[in-house]
Amino acid sequence: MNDEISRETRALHILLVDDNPARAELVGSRLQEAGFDHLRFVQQQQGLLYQIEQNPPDVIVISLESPSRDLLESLSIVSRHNPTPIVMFTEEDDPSFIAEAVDAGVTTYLVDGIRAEKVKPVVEVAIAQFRAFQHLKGQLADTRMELAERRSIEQAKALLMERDGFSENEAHARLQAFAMQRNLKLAEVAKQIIELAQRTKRSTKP
Amino acid sequence: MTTCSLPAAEKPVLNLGYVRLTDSAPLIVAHELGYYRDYGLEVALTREVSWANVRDKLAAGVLDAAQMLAPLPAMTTLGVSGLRVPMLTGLTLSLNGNAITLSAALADALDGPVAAGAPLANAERLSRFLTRTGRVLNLGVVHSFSTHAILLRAWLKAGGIDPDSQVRTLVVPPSQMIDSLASGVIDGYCVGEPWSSIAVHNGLGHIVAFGNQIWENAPEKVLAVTDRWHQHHPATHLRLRLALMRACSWLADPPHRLLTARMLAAPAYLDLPEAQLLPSLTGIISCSPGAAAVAVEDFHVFSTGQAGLPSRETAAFMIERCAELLGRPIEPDRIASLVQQTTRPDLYREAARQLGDATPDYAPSRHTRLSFALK
Repeated sequence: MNDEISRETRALHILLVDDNPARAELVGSRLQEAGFDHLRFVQQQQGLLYQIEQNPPDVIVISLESPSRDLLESLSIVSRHNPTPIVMFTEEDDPSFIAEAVDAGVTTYLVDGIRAEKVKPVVEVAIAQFRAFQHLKGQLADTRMELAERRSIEQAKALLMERDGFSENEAHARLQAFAMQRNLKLAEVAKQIIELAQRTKRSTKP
Repeated sequence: MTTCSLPAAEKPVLNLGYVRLTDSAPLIVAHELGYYRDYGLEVALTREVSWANVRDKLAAGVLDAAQMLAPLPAMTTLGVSGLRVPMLTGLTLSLNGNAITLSAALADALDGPVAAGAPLANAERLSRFLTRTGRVLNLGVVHSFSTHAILLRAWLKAGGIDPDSQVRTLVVPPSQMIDSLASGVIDGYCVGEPWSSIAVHNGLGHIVAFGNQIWENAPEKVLAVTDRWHQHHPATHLRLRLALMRACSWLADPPHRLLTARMLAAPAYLDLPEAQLLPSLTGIISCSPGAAAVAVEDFHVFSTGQAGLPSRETAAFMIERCAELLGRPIEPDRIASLVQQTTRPDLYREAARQLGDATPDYAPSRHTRLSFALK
């Protein structure tokens, strides 16, 4: 796909606005890999207007949730405040493309005079990377969850070993039997055992 | 509750968008009281950062329906706000609910203290300050086409301030207003609650005017869907309006407002202290840091006096004001067709009949004019 991007397209000056530095870096590095060398980042809302004024970009890629996005959009509407029209997807009328961008959390503004199809590869890279970032975040949450589950299984096994004098293997087998009987996940059974033990401890306290 | 007389919902599982504001109450209350479920709907509420987000997610179909600024369905249909996507509303969710706030530093620099309940005197004070200093103010509104932008412009003009040369209007999402005020990016703003009360509470700002002092009973938030979505899901849309109309009626009862503050405060919704949501919900609001609270009648109106009926007369008036904000006229014929397309009292009446409510053929005329008589 990269080969299809013309030299003219690669020369576009891109401004990447994202308050999330990790995501900005991910999107930025992929854009550079795709051959877009003229790339700048802004994070602070305060500096955005000044930066645009000083060094006008051709395309602004901005995260949908960014507060600065509404400001950019309003400037494009009320042009008496800013002579540079910045319009979202000016000539882009492919609804599925737009839906995909919005769903991924990307918004793009084109400075007047640039044709939309030239910007499409930029946006495609951004969409893919926003999605990759969402995926990474999801994986991180999954990993955390797994760790927490493993911890409660270990804790429940220790409780069974202490209370009933089981070996570790016996305790594990007991947990599995419980889980199968009740059609629950191992971690859920472990949690129930821990809660039960805590309640018993509390009620036996003088 | 019988729903068997209603046609089956085409899409019983819905995504509904709202913004972190006190007047998102109908959407949240309907969820908490189980009204969506009563009408066979399973609703996921999603909190959106800004109005442009809500509009774009509606347009892209990520949201099925949403709370929206009253002027936005028409302005999005016109194509001057984001993508040109036909949208419509069959239910006004709330009237009023806004305030204009100036930073504490600016209020202190005026030739006399800000007076609660005297919006015109406050505007004139600000006008004298601007003439004296030659300063150009940065003022925040929540969207280019919003009741807020209309109210702010009317208030400035009433005080003799030129809204085009003496003020620069910046768009800032509601929940970002206080940070922007504190960091000096803006000198004041017009916003929905609780973002003025919180500024006063923290000593950052003074309320100089309430929205309903400028425009009495202005339509504020509406239930918006795309025209396309309505065509494909008329029964779902009806059930959604019914659930929200019941929530609005429940909200019209003053004692329920206390419970509402508790519901909204929850981390899953507005995630704010209950005490800061109570002023506007009860209409007892402090305008200056440390000052005694004043009673404001009808600060938030939900349902009372057929408030939910979308008025075409008011919609036309609102589009004319938006043309001023846009800086170019919109042809009267175009306004008329926009109103026909986007403001649907027939959909409100369809739902009201189901609830056994009286369905007046008119909306009270006081809904249509800037009561400030400020020209």
